[in-house]
Amino acid sequence: MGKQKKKLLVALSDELFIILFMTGVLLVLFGIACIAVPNFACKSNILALLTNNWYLVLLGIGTTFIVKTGNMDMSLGGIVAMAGVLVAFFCQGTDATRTLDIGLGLSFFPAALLAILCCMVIGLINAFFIARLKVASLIITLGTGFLARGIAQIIARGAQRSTNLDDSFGLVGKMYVQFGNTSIKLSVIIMLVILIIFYIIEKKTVFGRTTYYVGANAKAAKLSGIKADRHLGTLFLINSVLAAIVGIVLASEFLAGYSTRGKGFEFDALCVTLLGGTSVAGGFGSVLGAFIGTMTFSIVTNAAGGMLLSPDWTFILKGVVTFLAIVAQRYALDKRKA
Amino acid sequence: MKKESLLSRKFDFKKFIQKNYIYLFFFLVIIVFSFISARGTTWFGRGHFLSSYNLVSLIRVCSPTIILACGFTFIMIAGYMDLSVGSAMGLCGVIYALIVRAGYPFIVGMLGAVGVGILCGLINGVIVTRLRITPVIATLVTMMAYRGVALLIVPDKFSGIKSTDILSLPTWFGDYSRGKFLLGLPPAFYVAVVIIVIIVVLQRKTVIGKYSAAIGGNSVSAQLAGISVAKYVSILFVITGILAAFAGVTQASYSGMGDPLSGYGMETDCIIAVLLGGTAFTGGEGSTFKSVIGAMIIICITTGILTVVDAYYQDFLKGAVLILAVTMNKLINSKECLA
Repeated sequence: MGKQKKKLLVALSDELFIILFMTGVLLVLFGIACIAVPNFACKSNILALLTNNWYLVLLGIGTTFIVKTGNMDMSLGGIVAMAGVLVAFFCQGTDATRTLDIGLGLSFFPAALLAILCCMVIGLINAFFIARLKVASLIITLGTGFLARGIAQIIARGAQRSTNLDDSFGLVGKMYVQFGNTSIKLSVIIMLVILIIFYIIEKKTVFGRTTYYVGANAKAAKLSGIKADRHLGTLFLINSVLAAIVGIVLASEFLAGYSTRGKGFEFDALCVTLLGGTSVAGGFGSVLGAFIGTMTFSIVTNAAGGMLLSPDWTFILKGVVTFLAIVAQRYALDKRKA
Repeated sequence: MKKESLLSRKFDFKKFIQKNYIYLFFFLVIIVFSFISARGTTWFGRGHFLSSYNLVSLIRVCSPTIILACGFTFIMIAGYMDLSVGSAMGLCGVIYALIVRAGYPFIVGMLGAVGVGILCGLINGVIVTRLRITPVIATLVTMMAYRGVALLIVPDKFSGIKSTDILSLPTWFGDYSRGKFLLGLPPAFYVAVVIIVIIVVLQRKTVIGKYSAAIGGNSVSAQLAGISVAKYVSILFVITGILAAFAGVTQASYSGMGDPLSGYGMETDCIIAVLLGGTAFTGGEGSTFKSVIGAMIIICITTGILTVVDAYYQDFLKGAVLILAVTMNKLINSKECLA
């Protein structure tokens, strides 16, 4: 027992070390970008850096928990699209002639709740297959991702649902909160609140500690009486809820449920998580890292835009940056242990 | 277990189903679509699922997928995974189109594409075996990178490498996967068949095949038994890269341009094919040929279903088929444990 405790302590300080390391990388990148890109350090751009990718932070939080246990969730993008289309569908009025205009006529909050419940079904399928049937998470979530996007496409007929919505639909996504003379989107506030909640869950509750145990050594966790499978299932369920929230708020912001929304979000979320120093093999990582990773991610993409690179570069940049993050993390850890 | 069946030689129905369910499933899919498409047309007539026209077009469409499913099984038997196949395929297609458009003959274009495919495979192999990054993550990263390179090669304002005012693709560009070679089928199909035969032989009769199964069964004990895991895994990644190149050339020739986005979602198709083929996703055993049949099932479902419902049902069906394949794979493999 004492040894285990000691092991956990070492793992945790590794985590802190890596997060500090990644923060250092973030600051260095920021410095380089400030020099290389004109007008990079102006106030509006920094504000954009901090707030534009709020949805990636949210997705990164769930992904961090999943990756920490050595699993992956590729269904995020599909769930985001499904939640967006569903909430639009639920909110559309019942009085219309064209099929794409007819909805269920609910008001926004019941509709959002219902959409989250629907997305939880996808999460439940994930949980069932991974926890009960022991299917590799990558494979089954690829399938459910297609399933979720397929549902979105069927409901939106391969397009979008954006008509016959009343103004209250855009309330959440378009609301701004004033802080002095800067205004911040409500979605960013939501992101921060969820980030803090999950940080507390991660560090202060049994649930959070269990995640570390399951990730570090699933077998040992099981032998010491932790229901590792059920825990994993719960994590996938939580992840689907987070993705659903992202989908709903995005739909509210754009006043439409696009069936193509969220393509590639699962990669971006993984990118952000790895950039935040979460271990690929599982065992450690923090939601705080997801936030830092998102900032690094936005600096890289923003700077690429500022240097007038063609959008085609984004794929390569994402790939290279993630790759470097993994290698740097491994190298730093090896150096430290040696 | 084996001895007993040799002695008794009784027809074991359960085992028969276990071994051959994929062929039965394939047969079932064909029959279902035959009946569905028989509405409003005669059997084997124009517009029917089994009409010669439809069969030829199915074979044209399925060539890239069956090639890739082959390589994917191979690498999955070894317990690894290559998610970058689709992107590598797109990249190789673009390279092929570029070379051919510059006026070089077909064979040079093919060699160039294969070269790039080998390079893609080598990069994957080095990242996975030397840098020891989890194969899934490593190939996810290279998947993005290869796609990015393919997009970068294509000049701005163009969606792909196709005929322009100055340079035009040769007229024979589409012949490789659309022309008539034997029995009205394109050369690409025969190349695919040859590739499948080669891979099946490689997997069943050669050291590479045996070693890859050993690595998939237990990579640590394979290493202890003196197998150079890193070497053989790299070879497998290179083989997959070569197959991706062939698939890319076939796809480029089929669509008439080097499309950097071709092969999108191909890894999912391959995973479905492999799972339908009964290969355990933990590695160790599997059949390449059954994956080929699995790939044909997906092609039949995704293209055949278009005659019945609108195109936007495709993703949903793909997901449903994948989940079905996972369940079936689980059932088959768990039965094997019980038997």
